[in-house]
Amino acid sequence: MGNIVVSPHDKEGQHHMMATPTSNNPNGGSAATAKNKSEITVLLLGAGESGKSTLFKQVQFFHGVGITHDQERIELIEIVRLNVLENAKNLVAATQHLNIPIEQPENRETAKLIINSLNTNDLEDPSWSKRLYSLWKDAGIQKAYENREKFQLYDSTEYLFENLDRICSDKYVPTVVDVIRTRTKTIGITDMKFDVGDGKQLRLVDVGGQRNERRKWIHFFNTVDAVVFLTSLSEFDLNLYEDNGYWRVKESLRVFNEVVNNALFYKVPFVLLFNKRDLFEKKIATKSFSKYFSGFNEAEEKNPVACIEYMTKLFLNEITEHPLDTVSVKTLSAIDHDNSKQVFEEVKQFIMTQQHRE
Amino acid sequence: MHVIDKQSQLRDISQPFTVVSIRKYYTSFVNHLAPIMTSGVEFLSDSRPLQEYFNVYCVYTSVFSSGNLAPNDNSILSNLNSSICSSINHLDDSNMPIDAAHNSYLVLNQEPSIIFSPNSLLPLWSIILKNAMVDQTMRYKVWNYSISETFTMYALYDKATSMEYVLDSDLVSNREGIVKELEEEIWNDCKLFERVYEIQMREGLGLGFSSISISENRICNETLQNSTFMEEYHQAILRIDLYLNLMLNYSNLVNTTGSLTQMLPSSTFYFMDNLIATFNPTFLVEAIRNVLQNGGFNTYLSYSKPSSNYDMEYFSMLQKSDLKPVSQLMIHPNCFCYYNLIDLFIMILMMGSVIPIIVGSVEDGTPYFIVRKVFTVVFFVMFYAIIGGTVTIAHWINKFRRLKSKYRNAQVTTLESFLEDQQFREMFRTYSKNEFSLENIIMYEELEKLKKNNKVTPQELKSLQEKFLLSSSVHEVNYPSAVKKNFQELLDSYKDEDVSSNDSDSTTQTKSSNSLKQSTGLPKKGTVMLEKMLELVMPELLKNMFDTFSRLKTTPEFGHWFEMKQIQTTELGEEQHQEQPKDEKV
Repeated sequence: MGNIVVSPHDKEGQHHMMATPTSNNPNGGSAATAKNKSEITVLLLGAGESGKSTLFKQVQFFHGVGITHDQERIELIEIVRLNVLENAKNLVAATQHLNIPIEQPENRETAKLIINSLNTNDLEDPSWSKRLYSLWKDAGIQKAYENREKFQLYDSTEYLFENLDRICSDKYVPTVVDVIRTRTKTIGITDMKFDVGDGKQLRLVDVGGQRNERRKWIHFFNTVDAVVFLTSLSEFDLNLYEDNGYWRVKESLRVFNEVVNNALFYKVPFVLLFNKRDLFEKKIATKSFSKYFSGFNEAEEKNPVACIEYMTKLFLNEITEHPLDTVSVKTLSAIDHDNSKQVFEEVKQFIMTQQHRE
Repeated sequence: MHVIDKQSQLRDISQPFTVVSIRKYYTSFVNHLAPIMTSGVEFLSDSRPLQEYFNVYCVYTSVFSSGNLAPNDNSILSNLNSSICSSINHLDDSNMPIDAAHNSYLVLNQEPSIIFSPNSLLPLWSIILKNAMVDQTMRYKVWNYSISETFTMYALYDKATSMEYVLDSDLVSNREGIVKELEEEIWNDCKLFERVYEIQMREGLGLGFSSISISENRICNETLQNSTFMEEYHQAILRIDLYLNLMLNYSNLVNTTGSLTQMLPSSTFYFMDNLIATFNPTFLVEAIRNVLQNGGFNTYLSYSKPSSNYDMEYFSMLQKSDLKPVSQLMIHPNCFCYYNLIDLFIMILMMGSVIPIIVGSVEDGTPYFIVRKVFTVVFFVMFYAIIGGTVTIAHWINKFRRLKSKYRNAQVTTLESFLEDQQFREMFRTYSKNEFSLENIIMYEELEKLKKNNKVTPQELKSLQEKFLLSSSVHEVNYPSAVKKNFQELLDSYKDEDVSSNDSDSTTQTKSSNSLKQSTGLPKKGTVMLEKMLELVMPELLKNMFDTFSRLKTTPEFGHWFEMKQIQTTELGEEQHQEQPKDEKV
C-alpha cells in the first residue's frame, strides 16, 4: 500500500520532517558563511523548565500560526488533561512522602482513584471537576503545595486546578492560555519558521533542557545566528527534575557558562532572558532569597529589582570569552502574552542591529 | 593459552616467546574471512586490486634486507629476488598486524615459497600460519608446505617439529574457555562499533555506520583521526558482518537456550579467488549466539541500512522459527507455581475419581459402562489441569483481560496502536531521528522485546539501565530522577533476591521437591519484575514519545498515512463487522 515519502517541506509555521541543520551545510559551515541568507536561525537554550517552549508557543501565537488555530489546540486536550492528572498525582504522592495526611475522607477516596486508575478520558465527566477541586482545596494538599520546593511540581498547577470546570467537560477546547500554561517536556529538537518582514524568515529552534537533551544541542551550534538563553528566576529554591539533589541555579549557571563561552558563539549576538518574573515576585514575598545566596544582602531580599540585579551579576560573571557588547540581558514573564511579545520584539531588534553592524 | 614451547630449540632468539592466546587465531582467521564472506565490502577501503596481493609471494623484513643476514643467506636473497619472487612485499613491525593477516591468507592458499622474518615477529607469524585454519588437514597442509619448506630451508628453526600444533583435542577440552574468550572478542567489536556510533551521534554526522568515510571523519574528531583506530573499527564492522552471516547460516541455533551439545561439522567456504577452505565454526557460532542473545548486536542491527541483509526485520524472522511460544501455549512454564492449592484439590478429586472407574469395570452392563466412560473423561480433564492446564487457562484469561484494559488508557493507546503499524513506525523513527529523539523509540523497542519474552533477567535489567538510564548512557532517555532512583532500587532488590535464592538453593539441595519449586519459581519472578519495571518506565517513555508524536501529527506525511489507514480499516470493517467498533476506538 501507498508508500510514505518522508521529505522536507518549508511551509510556514509547520513542523519539519527534516530538522537536520546539516542539510544546508554538509560540512558544517560557520555562521559567518550564512550571513547573506534571508533566514535567521535563533536558538532557544536553557536548562529544563526555564520556559523555552512557552516562549516558543507565544511566538507561534503572535505570528498567527500553530496553536492559534482551534484545530491544533484540540489535539492538545490530552496534554492539558494529562497535566492535571500528573499534578494531582504528584501532590497526592507528596502528601504521603511528606507525611501530611489528606484531611477529608472523600478526598482520600479521590486520591486513591487518582493514583490507581484515573486516566485522561475520565476527565470528560464533569463530576470530576468537583471532586478534583475539592481535593485541591483539602488542607493536606494545600500544605503539601506550600512545600512544593521539596518535590517536583509544575508551575501550572494552581492555574489548572482553578480552571477544572472548563477542562472537565466533553466540550472542552483548550484556550491559547491553557496551552501556554501547560507544561510539556520537550523531547529532542524542533523548529519553526516565521516571516518577520523585509523578506526575511526567522527560524526559531526549540530544544529540550534536561541533561540528556542538552547533548543534542551541539547539532545546531554550527548554523546559528543568535542565541536566546533562558533561565528561570523562580528556581532558586528548586532542585533538578532529572537529578533531585542538584540545585537548579547551579545547573543553569553551568549550562550558561558552557554555552556563552563556546567558541562557535563568539561572533553571535547573545540574549540572556530571566524568565518567570511574575512567579519570582510572588515567591520572594514569602520565601527567603538570601538563604540561597550567601553573597546577597539580607536587607534587600524583598526587593525584586535588587534580587534580579544580583542574579544578573552572577550570570554575567560566568562570561569569560564572549564579547560583552553583544550580550543583552532582559527579564520576561513568558506566560504573559503582552510582555513576551514586547520582549521578543526587543530581542529581534537587538539581533537585527547586531547583524547589521557586522 | 598455548605456549609455543621448546624455546631452546629455536636459534637466535634472545627474548622469551610470547604466550599465544587461542583467540588470536580466531581474530586473524576471521579477519581474513570477513571480506570474503561479505562480498562487495571493501576491506579497509583498500582500493588495490586483489590481483596485486596474489603476486606477493615473498615477504621479507628490513632486518634481513639491511645486511643482517649471513653472506650466504644474502646471496640466496638476491637470487630469489630476481628468479622466484614476482614481487616482494616489505614487512616490519609497523604494518605487521594487518598485512600479516592479508599475507597469511596468501601464504596459506598460495603457499609462498619464502618467508623471512625477524625473530621478534616469529611468534606472530607462527600463530597465523599454524592456526589460521582450525581444520586439521588444512593445518597440516599449511605446515607441511609452508613452514617446513620455508623456515627449515634457511634454518631459522632447527627442525620443523619444534613448534607444537594446537590439537583438536585441546580445543574440545578447553571449550568453555575458548567460547568465553571469543565472546569477549565479539563484545569488543560491538563495543567498538557503538563507540564510533556515539561519536557519530555527537558530531552529527548521521547515524549509520555506513556513512563513515575515514577522510571525512578525520576533520571532526580526534579519536577518528587515529588511523589505527579507524582500521580496527573497519575490521570490527567487517567481523560483525561475518558474525551475523554465520548466524544466519546456523539460524536454528539462535534461540535454543542450552549450549550447543555437539560439534558442528566443518564447513567449506568459497573464497573470492575460488580457493576452498574448510573450518569448524562451532565455537564461534556458540559465542556469537550468546552475544546475540544478550543484545550485543542490537545497536548494530537497528542502524544497519534497510537494504542490508541484517536489519531488524530479518532478525525477527529468525525469531519466528523459535518453538518456545508454541510450547508455552500448551503448558505454561509456571505450572505448580500460581495455583498449587487448586492443583492439590484436583489431585484429591482425581484419586477419588479412580474409584468409580474401578467399580465401573467390575461388570459390563450399560450403566457400568457409562459410569466408567464418564469418569475416565473427567479423570483426563483433571489430569490436564494438573500438568499445567489451570495455569495455562489462567494465563490466557489474564492476557485477555489485560488486552481489554489496555484500551482504557486512550492517549497512550493511540500511539501504541499506531506503532504496531510498520509504516507508521518507520515514519516515527525517521521523525524522531530528525528531531534527535531516537533514544525513546529505541528503548521502546527494547522493552517490546522484553515483553515478548514475558520475563526479565537481572542482566537484562542491568543492561537496560546502562543503555538508557545512566548519565553515561549512549541513549540516555529523559527520565525524572525518581524513576532512575526507583529503577536502581528495583535492580538491587532483584539482585539481592537472586543471591538469597541461590543461597537457599544450595542449602536445601537435598530436598528435591524444594529445588523443583526454586527452579520453577524463577521465571515467575522474572515476569513479576518485568511488570514492575514496565510500570515504572513505560508511562514516562510514552509521554516522551507523545511529545514527539504531537508534532509529527501536524505534518502532511502523517495526514497522508492516517488517511490511508482509515481507508484500510473501513475496508476491513466491512469484511469483519465484529472488528469495527474496536478499530474505531483505535
